[in-house]
Amino acid sequence: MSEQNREQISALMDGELENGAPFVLNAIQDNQEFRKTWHRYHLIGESLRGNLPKHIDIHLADRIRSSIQKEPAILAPARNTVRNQLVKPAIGFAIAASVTVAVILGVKQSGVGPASSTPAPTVAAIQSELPGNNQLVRVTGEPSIQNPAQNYRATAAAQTRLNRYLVNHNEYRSNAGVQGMLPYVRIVAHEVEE
Amino acid sequence: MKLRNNLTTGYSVLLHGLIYAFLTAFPPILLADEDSSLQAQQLINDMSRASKKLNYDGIFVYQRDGRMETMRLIHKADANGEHERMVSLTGQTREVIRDGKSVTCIFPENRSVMVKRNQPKQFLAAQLPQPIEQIADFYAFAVSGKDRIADRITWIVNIFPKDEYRYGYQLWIDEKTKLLLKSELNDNSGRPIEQILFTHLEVVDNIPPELLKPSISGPGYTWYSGSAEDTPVRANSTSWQVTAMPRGFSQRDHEIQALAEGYMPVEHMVYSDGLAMVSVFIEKIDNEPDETRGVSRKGGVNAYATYANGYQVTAVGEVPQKTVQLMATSVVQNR
Repeated sequence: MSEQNREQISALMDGELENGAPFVLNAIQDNQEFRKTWHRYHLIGESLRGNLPKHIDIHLADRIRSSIQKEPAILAPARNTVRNQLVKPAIGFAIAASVTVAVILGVKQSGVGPASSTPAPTVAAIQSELPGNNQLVRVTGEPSIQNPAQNYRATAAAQTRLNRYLVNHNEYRSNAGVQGMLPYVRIVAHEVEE
Repeated sequence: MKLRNNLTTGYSVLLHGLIYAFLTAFPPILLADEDSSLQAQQLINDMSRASKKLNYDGIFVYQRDGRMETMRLIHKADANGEHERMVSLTGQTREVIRDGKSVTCIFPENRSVMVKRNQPKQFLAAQLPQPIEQIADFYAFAVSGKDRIADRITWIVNIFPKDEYRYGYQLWIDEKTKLLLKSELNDNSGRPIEQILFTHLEVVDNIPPELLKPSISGPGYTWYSGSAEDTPVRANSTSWQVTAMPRGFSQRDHEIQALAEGYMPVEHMVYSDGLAMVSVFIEKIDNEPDETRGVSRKGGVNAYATYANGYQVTAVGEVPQKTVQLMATSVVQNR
């Protein structure tokens, strides 16, 4: 892989590759070295912009690609070249966006991984999320419980207890001196869909 | 790094353009560090006072964990104290209505209402206005400039934690009314964990009472209510003790109360460093629950629960996970 190829990849990412976008895109598809460079450059870019989370699953894209390869092909009409010319500047962004999505998914995956937290060894933390309402969302815990259905089993009593605690805590919070945030916003806010 | 020099050209041109436009509109106010710190503390004190004393009605955006919602906040202050109603404008119409006597939380999605009756707290009077100077050992303060939020000119105030046991804030405080118009809660690397941003705010002379009434009506709601006689008992001595906490934290209050009907009394201890606050709850539990242990998080609030000898100990607060974990796991029972 030449210096010129690296420059082409970089230019593609910025949407500034005048000619040769199809070549580079094909190369990224077929050639592992291109692909790795492409990934690395995005990683560097995200790092420069301070967008990197603590954990990144760098093999996620590979896994997605291999599952896509196993999927039956979907036939799409060939693209018109004039349109291609117009669309070109957006390619870098579109692909960059998809890479970002992959990185975010990677975080979610690694979020339940062993490296994600340091629960006290005496506490068997169990993942619990109730669909719905105002529960505190479990973000870490000991990894990998065999029966996924069990992860989502949580008694209403336990969740209600946390809610009561949060209301009681807020009551102090909203009465005490310095308030950087509106405390009750967390009660009014809806759950983040998992 | 073998990157093309202009790898980030597109971004930097845009960024520089924005910075230039911004600086032109709002020249940065450069103050000596000490002046800036004092001014920041004054603004924060003013903000605390204004948010309690004024009548206002505003709409804000709340963002956390990659999700955005809008809410309306209505606040009234009169001879009877504060009255406030916060209601979500997106999704289900969740509401929290509070006054000096109670906090009512309404969750339409499961048709439930939670009412928490309050006793007037000594704590409140004792702590206001918060002597913010006392917390300067644990946080640094600065005024970093001006900005425009909800069509109002604001000061930008930064609060930086001096260790990793606390979070930092960036606050946008209205120059005229001193109300908080934007706020970011930041983790140790300065990244926002949650933010609020007012898009519209009106300060008014009078708030019509109907604006403070819940929007729900009709039967079908289940009420979870504490009984009126639910007087919290101020605990003078306790067998429980939090033995480890970050520097600067001290116990601010301690009470035992039935949080709601049908539940065992709960011991509630409040710790604060003057800015951040952690509640430690100790509750007797008949059956060992396996659902609420370990770490939980909701926006900027972390919780950590442990269970031992029939009691569940839960620390809850706007602090990093390590702080609630440290405190919850340090609780011992004196015998």
